[in-house]
Amino acid sequence: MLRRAANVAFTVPVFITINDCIVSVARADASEPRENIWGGPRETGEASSSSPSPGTSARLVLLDRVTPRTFSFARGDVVYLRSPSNQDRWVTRRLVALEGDWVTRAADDDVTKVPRGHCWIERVEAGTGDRDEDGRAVPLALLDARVSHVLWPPSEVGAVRRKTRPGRVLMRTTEVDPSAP
Amino acid sequence: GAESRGAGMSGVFASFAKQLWSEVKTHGPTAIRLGCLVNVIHTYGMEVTMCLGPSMLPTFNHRGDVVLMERVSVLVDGVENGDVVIARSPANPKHTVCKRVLGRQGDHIEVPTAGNFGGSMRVRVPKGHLWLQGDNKDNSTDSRDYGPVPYALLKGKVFAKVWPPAEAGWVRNERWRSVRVGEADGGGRAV
Repeated sequence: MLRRAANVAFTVPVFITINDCIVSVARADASEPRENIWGGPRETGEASSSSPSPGTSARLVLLDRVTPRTFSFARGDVVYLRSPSNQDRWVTRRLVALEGDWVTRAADDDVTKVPRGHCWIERVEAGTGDRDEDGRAVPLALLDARVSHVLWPPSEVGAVRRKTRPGRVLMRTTEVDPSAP
Repeated sequence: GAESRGAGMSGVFASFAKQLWSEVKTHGPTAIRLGCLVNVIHTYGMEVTMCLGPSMLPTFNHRGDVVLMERVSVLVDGVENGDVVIARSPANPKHTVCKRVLGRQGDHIEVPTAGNFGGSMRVRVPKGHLWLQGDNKDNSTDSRDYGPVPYALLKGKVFAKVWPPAEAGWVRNERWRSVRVGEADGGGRAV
């Protein structure tokens, strides 16, 4: 009996390690208005952005934890990270640019260079020119995982595709191995 | 068996491969479980690591000290001003930095500027961030260069030095290094 319990206890770290290093499941932020992750228009009306509309359900996603360890993020990936302004909140964002790229902000056409070791993230929804869409640069080390698939709700199940922001990102000319310092 | 088919290189390799596979099957699961257990201890408990570079003189050697780092303080948000922490570098995701926390989110602090002429500047640490600075203010790349660091980049708190043996001992919190500035009068110091 004790031997079996010890056996089970000894196996728990394996699951913890798989969860931390390979793949895990997480709940994507349901409180902010999110687009259909396929890039289609929002189902709910624009005016209801302050409170979740009825019928907005939690979204479960599959997180790929191998990509951050090998630093093989690509522009257009959806990433999962702790919010830099509030360490208790986890958010999903779209990775728009890597270090050394020049990004044109959506809101005011200002051009910024992404600093060394950082990346530029924006909300997942595609451009509508809203002021609140402005992205920011965060350290690449802050990205915890890549969102690879949506598991729930059933209407959205499937792989998450990369979507770049054409016309707004000037990439580094030497083709960049994203893991180069 | 493979040996009875007569001499031949393929026979030797086949029996070797069979033996290797049976060793893996016997010891493999235990090795995997042990490896994962070590990984969990490192991620949620404690890790032995090294602090290199001149930025934390005189607290740490520039040739490299071996230190013990614990993760619990970071996980429960128990990192205080004056603690030495190890964090992932904002300037290079593959590197880590070993610095002291001089300000937590919301703190209004006064920090020495880099450079030879002394002087200081006042900084307000934004929400969700920490101000990290090396003890050796003249030779340290820290928040004065790359800005306040998001809390999630912290890896752990350094609590003991184990090598070199002559300098082994606890790494203490040095709260006096964090100078808080009163906001209302702009000149008073509140610690």
